[in-house]
Amino acid sequence: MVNIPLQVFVNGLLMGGIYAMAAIGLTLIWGVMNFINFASGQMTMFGMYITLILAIGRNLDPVAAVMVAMIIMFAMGLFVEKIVIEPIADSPRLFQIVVSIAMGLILENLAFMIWGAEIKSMPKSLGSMKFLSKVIDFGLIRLSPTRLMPLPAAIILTISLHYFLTRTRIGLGIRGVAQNTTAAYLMGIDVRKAYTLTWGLGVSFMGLAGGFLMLFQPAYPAVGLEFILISFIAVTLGGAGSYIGTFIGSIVMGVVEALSGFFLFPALRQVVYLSLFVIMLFIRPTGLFPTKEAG
Amino acid sequence: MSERNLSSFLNKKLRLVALAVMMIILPYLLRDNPFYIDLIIKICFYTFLATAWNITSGYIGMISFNHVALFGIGAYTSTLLQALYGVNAWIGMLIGALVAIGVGVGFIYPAVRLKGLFLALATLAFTAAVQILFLNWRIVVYEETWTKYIGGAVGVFIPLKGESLLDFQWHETKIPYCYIMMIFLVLQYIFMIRFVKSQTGHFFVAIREDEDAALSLGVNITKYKLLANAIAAFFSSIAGTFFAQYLLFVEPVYIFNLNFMFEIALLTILGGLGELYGPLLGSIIYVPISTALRVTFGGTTYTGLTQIILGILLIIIMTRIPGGLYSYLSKIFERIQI
Repeated sequence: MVNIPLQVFVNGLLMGGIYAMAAIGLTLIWGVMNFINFASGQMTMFGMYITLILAIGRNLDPVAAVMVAMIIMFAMGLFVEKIVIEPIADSPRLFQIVVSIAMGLILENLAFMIWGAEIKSMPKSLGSMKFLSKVIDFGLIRLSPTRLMPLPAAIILTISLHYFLTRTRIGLGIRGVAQNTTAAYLMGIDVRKAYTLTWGLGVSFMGLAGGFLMLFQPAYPAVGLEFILISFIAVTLGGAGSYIGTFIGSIVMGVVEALSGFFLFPALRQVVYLSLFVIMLFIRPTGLFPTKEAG
Repeated sequence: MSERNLSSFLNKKLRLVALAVMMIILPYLLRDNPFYIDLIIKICFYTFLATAWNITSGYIGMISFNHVALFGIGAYTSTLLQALYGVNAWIGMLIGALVAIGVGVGFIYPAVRLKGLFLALATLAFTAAVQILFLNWRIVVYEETWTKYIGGAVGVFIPLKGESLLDFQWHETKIPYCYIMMIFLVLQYIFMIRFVKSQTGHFFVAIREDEDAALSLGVNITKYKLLANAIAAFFSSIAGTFFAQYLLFVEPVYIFNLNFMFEIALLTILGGLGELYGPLLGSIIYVPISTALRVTFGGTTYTGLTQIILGILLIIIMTRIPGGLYSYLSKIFERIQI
């Protein structure tokens, strides 16, 4: 017998894993460059579509397609940083917001032009999707492996990112740039390279979130819009630049969204988390786990 | 010196008269072509709303995206008052402005402390929440024989009356709307020109440039930030009522449109943020280009190309001319004069 509230709770928790990957991509760029990427949702959407076309068009196994999509999105992050972000790195905050908004518009309409407006989902007969999309009965809840995968993946990602940033030379360089750009520059760190790498990593995480989401949810060009606000809220809840905080914030967002959709009106679930977000900003704008790196 | 003053004064007068004559004659000349009339209305309308955005984001430096919510509240207030109680549109416009000021200032008051990006995010969340509320909020109207629902995703129709200035609706022609929007815009610019030169206007710029310095000199920051939002809310809601009367219909997805908000922001920055004539220049350039692109590519397989070209253009302009077109052009003109 399925316990529906528990099922909803677990679904929210697992969805939190997807949100965590996208939000960590956002918080990385936010923390290091003090740049809010308003195109992050559209980048997640691109990750979804790239996974889909790799799986269908190139006959890749869907799980492998997710990984390849992540690499392609990494390259896209490097490209975007070089072409768009570098020229405006020193301009006012508002310009950066507007440029990223314009970038989001471009990506969304590009997807609309290339793949059309119709909803597309991953065929259940492709490679490993055959057994990954089978629903398993756990007694009180039922889940498919596609829904189970993102959360452990997000945990592994968060831990490895933490190790990368605290243990490796390049990671320490990025953190140095995040704390004090001028000092890092004077210490011989290549700030430009650190920025480019940060964008590559951040965008690849957004793409990874999209890839995992593609395995159990359909893609359409406007899907990114829903992601933007959720990732922003997750990042602000956790404190910009704090990876663990962002992770917890994303899990909280997933659960709050699922539970408010179940216990209140489904249509008003967004109002619930938006109100929570605004109240949170009013009370504690630095987030639950403020870091110095957030600046 | 006095002679030069006189000539510049005459020049100014002449220019104003020429502008006024052009504004009166232009819609009349284009009266047979509704497309161009619509274009002029759109340019004026976008300028009007962009100036409202410019007051908060440009002059006082509060980057916020709640204007489209206040715009929608203005549109909905006057429309619902007309549809439910038969209140005159002009009275509805004023009531809508009061409601929008109340909601706008009421929301900004606790958010005044928020800096930069957090304010932008909070106002973005506010707009998104208001849109979802209006999407799900239906009003039940009991009539003698049946009950009907209005509002929600279906939207609200403005009851059709005769064509008159009093009822603020015309069905056969768009020219009166064009003149009304122009008058609104002129009144707004008269206000803005006086405002920018006033002490309050200088306080706004001082707060934008350095909040702490302004505070230490005794400027009441909270008061002026709320004032800026009240002015912006007033203009936004007036534009909202105009838009509702122009379409004679309101609907949440179209009215509370975040992309529309971003368009307003983009064209202001394109023209020049914090410049008096920035919004005007921005919409004179942006609106015709976006309309032309939409006419060219809309409905074809390249529909998405409109937004892509606009986005690329914006990124190019932002990365090459960061100060906006107004300051760029005025620099060129200065060089020519010398």
